[in-house]
Amino acid sequence: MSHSNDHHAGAGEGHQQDHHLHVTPFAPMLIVFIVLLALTALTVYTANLHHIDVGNTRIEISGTAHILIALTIAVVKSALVLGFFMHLLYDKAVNTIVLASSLFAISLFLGLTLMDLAVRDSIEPYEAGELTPGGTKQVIRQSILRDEAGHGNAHEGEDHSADDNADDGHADEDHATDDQANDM
Amino acid sequence: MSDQQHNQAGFDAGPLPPAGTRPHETYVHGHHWRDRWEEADGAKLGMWLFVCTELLLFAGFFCAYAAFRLMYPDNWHEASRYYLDWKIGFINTGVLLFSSWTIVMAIRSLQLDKKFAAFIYLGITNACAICFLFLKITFEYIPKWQLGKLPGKYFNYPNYGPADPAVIDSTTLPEPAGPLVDAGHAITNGATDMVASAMNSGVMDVLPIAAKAGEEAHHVPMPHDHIFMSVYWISTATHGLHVFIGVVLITWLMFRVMGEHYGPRRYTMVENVGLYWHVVDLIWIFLFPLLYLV
Amino acid sequence: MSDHHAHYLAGKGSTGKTIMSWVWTYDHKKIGVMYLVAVLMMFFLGGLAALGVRAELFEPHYTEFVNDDGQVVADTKGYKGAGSDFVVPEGTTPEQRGVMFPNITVTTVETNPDTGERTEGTKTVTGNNIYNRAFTLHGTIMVFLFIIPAVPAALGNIFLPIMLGAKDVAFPKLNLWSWYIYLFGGMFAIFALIQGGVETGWTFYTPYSSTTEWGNVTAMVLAAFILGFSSIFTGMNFIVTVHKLRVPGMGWFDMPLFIWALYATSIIQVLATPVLGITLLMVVFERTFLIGIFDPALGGDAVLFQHFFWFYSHPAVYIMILPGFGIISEIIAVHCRKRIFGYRAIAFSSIAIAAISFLVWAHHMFTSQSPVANVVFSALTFLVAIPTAIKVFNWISTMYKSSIAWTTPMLYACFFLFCFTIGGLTGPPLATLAVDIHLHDTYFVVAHFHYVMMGGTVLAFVGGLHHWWPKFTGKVYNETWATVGGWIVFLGFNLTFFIQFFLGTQGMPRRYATYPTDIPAFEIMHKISTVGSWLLLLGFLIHLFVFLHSLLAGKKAARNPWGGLTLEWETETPPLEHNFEREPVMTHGPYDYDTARPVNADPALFPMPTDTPKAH
Ligand code: HEM
Ligand SMILES: [Cu+2]
Repeated sequence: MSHSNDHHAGAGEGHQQDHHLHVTPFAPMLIVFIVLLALTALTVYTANLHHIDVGNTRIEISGTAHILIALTIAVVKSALVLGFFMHLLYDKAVNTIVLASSLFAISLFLGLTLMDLAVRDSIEPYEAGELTPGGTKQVIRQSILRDEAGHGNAHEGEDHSADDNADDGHADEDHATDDQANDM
Repeated sequence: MSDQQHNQAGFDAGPLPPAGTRPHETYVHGHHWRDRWEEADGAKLGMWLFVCTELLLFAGFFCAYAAFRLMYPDNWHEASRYYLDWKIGFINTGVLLFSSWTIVMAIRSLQLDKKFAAFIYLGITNACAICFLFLKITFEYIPKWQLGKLPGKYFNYPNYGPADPAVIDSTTLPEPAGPLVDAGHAITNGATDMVASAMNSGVMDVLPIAAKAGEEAHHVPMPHDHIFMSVYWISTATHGLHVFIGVVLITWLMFRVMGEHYGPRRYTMVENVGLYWHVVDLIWIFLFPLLYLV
Repeated sequence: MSDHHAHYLAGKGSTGKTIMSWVWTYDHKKIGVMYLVAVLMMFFLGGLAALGVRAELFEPHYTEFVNDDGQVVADTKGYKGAGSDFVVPEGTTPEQRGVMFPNITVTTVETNPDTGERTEGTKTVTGNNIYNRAFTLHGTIMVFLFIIPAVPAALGNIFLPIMLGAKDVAFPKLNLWSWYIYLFGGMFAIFALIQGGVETGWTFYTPYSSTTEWGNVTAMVLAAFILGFSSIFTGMNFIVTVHKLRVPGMGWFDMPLFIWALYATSIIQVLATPVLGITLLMVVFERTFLIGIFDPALGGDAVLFQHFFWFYSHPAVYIMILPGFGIISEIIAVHCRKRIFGYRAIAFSSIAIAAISFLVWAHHMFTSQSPVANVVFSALTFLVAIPTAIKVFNWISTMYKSSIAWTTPMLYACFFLFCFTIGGLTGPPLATLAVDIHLHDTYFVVAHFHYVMMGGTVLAFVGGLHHWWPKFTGKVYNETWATVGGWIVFLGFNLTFFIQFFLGTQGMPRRYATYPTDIPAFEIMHKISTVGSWLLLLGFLIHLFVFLHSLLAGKKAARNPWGGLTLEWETETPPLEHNFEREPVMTHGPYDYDTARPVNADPALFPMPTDTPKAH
């Protein structure tokens, strides 16, 4: 509906005589409304349907299938509402792009959040070792002492400095069990 | 892009009628716009952006719904079946769809310069909206309130009172309640056979609750029923609030239409309220099957 | 109709009329100026809280950590395991126990879980909790009341329409609404503050925020909810303005890069903020109706809240930084007098950042979500570094071999490049899953986001303020003192935050009122950081005085003091009521410094390359 790109500043009332009015059509809208009602009935019908008999074989409809059917119908219905009632089919493409960007955001929001929740227990959680008084630092110190006792001067200087770094790096574990309310 | 389509489909009503003196004909567009059609286009683009924000707002509810549906599928399915009656939802869906159609017709009437038809169509839309709220409140909210089917912690488990974690998660319950809650608890642990055995053993039939509240006669209260009801209440109530705002807006439009503020030259506001109203419809198109049916 | 030839700051005859012309204005410039005053006040308020936080950490005040049973499990003299024979060190006076902050009495609202009845009472808050309130106050005010509206709603509002050659934003009334909604939301926040504050952190994590008995959380959460609307309305307005109100002849790629950045920002504002709205509303429902969706004790899920929150709040960090990017593009092009390098790359990278920002939110949840999601989000997060780096490289390429004018805005642009690059480069280490498990919730994260938000957005904002100050106030500011202030801010900033990277890697967790004394480095580093915060205060005070002095005694500014080519330099100084005397005509692109001569500027000051042929 490229209304007015040909109109420039100060377009007077006279100019607008040129405008052709795009009237919302009657018949298509009525048909869409009837189809929407029919689809609603179909949703209810399929939702209350627990199995289909094809000849002698009975096909059970699972819970997931129910959701998929209901959502598919809902998507079709909303597409009709968007396209016809909300004029996307008649309007400038930019409105459709705006809508598409919001659907993009919604699908990421739902998709990635559910992805996380769905795989929550799929990997064995990492088990932290028992907390020891004094923290990991103590354990490392003890192991250094043990090493030194065992191997005498076998260690080279480099190794020691590496241990020292580990020492500092774990200082935060000292606080791992601190009880402050807002540890988040 | 679609001028040709319009012409082919015969939707084009030809040139505008000559301008007169009615308010919508003498309307002057905002000084910073090139002309009123640019202003209308801009307003509509703004409305579409607002529509996006509405969709994303409700996406929060749908996300919460989907998350718990994923975590407690059986509980969700059962709760939807036993706490909600699809018939009310079904009627309400029809009512909303019809009102969506009438508001489209109201715009058409304005484009054809039929003031009274537009007024009537808007009136019908409004009546539908009020009907929706009436059905919802009298047949859903009030009975649920009375039965204690309230969100979250205010939810009353039949016979056991509010959803207290101690009640839901432990077996230290008063005697008669034992088997029932055990059964409910078992479902979330995936031990569906335990539920089956509880059902077979006839436990369900002798429970007093079965006679008391017909609504959930065959329902095994489950640990997350109250979360289902939370999602139900907050999403339908927020939707209901939107319906109510719609009523206010449409009423205002009716006055404006009578005051001849809208006509073939100026109907953007009606279109925009229409867009808003269709969003209310769109949300319901998804809420209805998800809450009431699956 | 008002006088078209008066500039927008001109009085309206009587004082009453002048006040009304501000209170009830649809002029984007006036609304922008009101926003500017408000956000600057908020910046100083949030800054005061930050100074308090830093002052507290100057010393490791002796503190005991008590568990739920009242047992002392640790103190700042060193870790004591629960149940170990804990002795309070000799000579510890009662005053020494607890933090610098005094105990205060606040109102509480308690909900009876059975009846839902609410009773008001009072409670004494210990110094530790005051500390929590101080950093929460700092975070919420800085994020929701300062940094998000700072550039778009203040500077953007003033300059977006002018740079597009438009008379106003698309919806001037909505713009005014947005401002009053901001004010209203701000009042909620101040109310929560006066009532005793909130101690949840700006992230409002559940179940703490939904169960803590301080009723102020509701007010604070509602404040953020309301402020969200203000932000959405600004975003909607800008998008429609950019689409529909560009002056004839200005195509998408003739727009200044500041506009591109604001456009990308607006997309995020419109698409992400509603999710914050619904999240915060659900927290309010949690608190009032106990719906339990986010509360594990009621069968809900706390990690779900984190998804909801970060789905907004990660994109929100780009709401904060993208406009800053835009300012830097403008400053560098104007003050280097050179065609910006890679215009389209910068423009598209803004849009790319907006899109990618929706893909990475759960990098804030590496310690709470599922391991599989961790891997996915870690990988996705690295994507965002690409468009960000593209921008930095383009700015540096623009500066290469250009004639740089060392003005305060340019100085700030260089500070920005330095600090933001550090902040940006510390993002990928945090996005590296294994590393973040160690760094999460330490001062490393604090340093990271201060380098991007303060070293990025705030420095760009202050730079932009100096860049456009002569235009929108019509007054010249004192370059010398502004430069001095700029250097002090820069030094103070780096002194405060650079050391925090080391604090973090050493394991100092964030959000604690104190720290152990048996790691001497902690105390030294905290002291350095606190001293830095005082320098920051000094620097910003100098800027404040420079601005006040300019307003009261500044000389009248020229129309185009920097020789810029974008449209705002073509109008009067300060701009007219409806921006332009007549609709501007596009005769050149925004950065055609090699071919176009800046209007309203002295050709001797801003020569063209063709004017003085190079000697060699
Ligand atoms: C190169 C791009 C960036 C990457 C890869 C990145 C990555 C990260 C990661 C992984 C975290 C979580 C750290 C943790 O809590 O363990 C984080 C925190 C944060 N980032 Fe960034 N970041 C980037 C740029 C930015 C920018 C541009 C801003 C803002 C202007 C920003 C603001 C923040 C904030 C505010 C937090 C901390 C939020 C909180 O926990 O309170 N980041 N960043
Ligand atoms: Cu992030």
